[in-house]
Amino acid sequence: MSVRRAMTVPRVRRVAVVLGLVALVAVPHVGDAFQVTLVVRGLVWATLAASVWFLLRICDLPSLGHAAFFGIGAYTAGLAVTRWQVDNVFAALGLAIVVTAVLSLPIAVIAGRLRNMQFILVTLAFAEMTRSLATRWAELGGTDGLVGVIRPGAWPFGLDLSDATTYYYFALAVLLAGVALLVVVVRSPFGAVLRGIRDSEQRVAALGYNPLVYRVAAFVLSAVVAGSAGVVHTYLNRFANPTDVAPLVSARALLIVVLGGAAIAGPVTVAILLTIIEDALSSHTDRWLGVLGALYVVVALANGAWNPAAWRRALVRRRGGATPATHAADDAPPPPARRAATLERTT
Amino acid sequence: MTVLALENVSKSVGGLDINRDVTIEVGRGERRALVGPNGAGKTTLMNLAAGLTRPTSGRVVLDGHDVTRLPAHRRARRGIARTFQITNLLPSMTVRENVAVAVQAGERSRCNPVVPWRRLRTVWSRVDELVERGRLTDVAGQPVSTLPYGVQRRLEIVVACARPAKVILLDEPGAGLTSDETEDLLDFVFTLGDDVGILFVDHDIDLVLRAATEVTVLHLGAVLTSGTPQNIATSGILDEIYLGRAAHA
Repeated sequence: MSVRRAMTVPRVRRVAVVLGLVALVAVPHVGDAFQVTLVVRGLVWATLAASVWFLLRICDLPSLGHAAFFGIGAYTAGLAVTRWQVDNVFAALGLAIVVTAVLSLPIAVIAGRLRNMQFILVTLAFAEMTRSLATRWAELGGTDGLVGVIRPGAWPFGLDLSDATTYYYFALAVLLAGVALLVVVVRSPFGAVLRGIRDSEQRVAALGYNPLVYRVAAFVLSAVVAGSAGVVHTYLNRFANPTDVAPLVSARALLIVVLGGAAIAGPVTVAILLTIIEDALSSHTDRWLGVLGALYVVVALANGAWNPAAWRRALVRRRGGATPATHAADDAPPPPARRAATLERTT
Repeated sequence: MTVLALENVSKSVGGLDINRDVTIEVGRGERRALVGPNGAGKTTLMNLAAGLTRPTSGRVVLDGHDVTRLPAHRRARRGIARTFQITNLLPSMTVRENVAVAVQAGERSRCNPVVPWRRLRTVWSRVDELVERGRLTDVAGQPVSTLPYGVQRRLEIVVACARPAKVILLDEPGAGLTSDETEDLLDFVFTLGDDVGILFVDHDIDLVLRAATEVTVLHLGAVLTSGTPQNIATSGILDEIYLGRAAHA
């Protein structure tokens, strides 16, 4: 019994994460160029979803405006190569991060004072303002967007990003760096205060913390990760377009996070799977949006019932100690949905 | 030596006077109780002192400095600690984590975004010390939301007292507990130090008269009288406002 107990939930989770990572690294070796590009799209969505996850799950702030920061990153990446003669992808990424941080700060200061529905509406409003700027500002190409974008070099690594496989690993690196950054922050003293503010703002303020400062910092951090996703997006498509800043982008990112559950692996997995499923559906039927909608409804309804940890406990009880390891395989890659009740353990 | 003073404080909301021209002083080492029936304005006064709301007129002075315009978190940094009438903890975090967030508020590393939280040795050793003194060791690793109410109240006190404070505001620390349990909680606070001023509210008059060094009686938002517990007990004023004897006389 004690040996079997050793396969604890955190360990199952770790195994699932490792299997998921192995699968992601293996993609270019098993897929063709089209499939690899498709998964890159999934990686972009995963990066954006991770940034939204951070705000929603750690700060309890539901952003419906992350398309703004995604778009700011996307346009900065485009301008970097078309106007500013930046020929290094890391320089472009750094530039996009700085621009996103600076432009998100005033939005953070305003939105950081709001909660719930007000926060949703204000973030949506800022995203729409950003979109209307993108369509009307001639320098940004209007409704045509920025065209003629090329993938810059990758000094000092000497990578050729025009190669699909190389670009895949670049996108994967950006995703993993973003997720690692968010996880490190969540586990730090700063992250502890953020979770404290999520639980009770009054209590944390009464201890001497200024909740607004912490929320603004969290917002800017989240915006920067979303901006990085925009950079990968622009160099993938070789253009930046006002549709990158559309409300549907924000909504889809938020939807992925809601479907993905409490742990950060959730939205990352959902983003990649959803992108693949959408493509598979759309190549089989013209009514793929309807099928997708039905799928959303089913997943949303099943979300409350999805609790692998509880099933595992129930099974162990019934069989008098069936090893959870056999069920771990069912859970890998990381379960797409996890109940909010496990929130405190995910961090 | 006064550490916290409310000077001629009034608070009205929508034309309704909740506090009228209230002046209260809390000295170092003093344990001042606020008593009065429901609606006397006790909790509002606590919120005014802590900075959760601002007075319509009057001043709040902490250790000689006017803090009337300072928000709650700035006052906390200057030495006001408080508990809430309705338990106000971080429910998804464990007992130790709740105490750690409190202890960390005074550390330079409080907003470090890189170091793992678990590595802050100075914080966690102080946390274990406090958890032990609060007799919470058995439940130290449990999420607060799973704890019985009485234990949550004790944690509320431990969290409020985690940092050195000049004045501690206790808003019905024993709400929903028996007198013995409440007295137990108050003992924990009273052993914190001789120079801490304490302002507390409780409905149990007998307990208040035993535990306080000074008593202020509030009625309909204004101070009716102040004095030592003996004076208040023998004056018969509590019977008047609680039972309305004066009205019948």
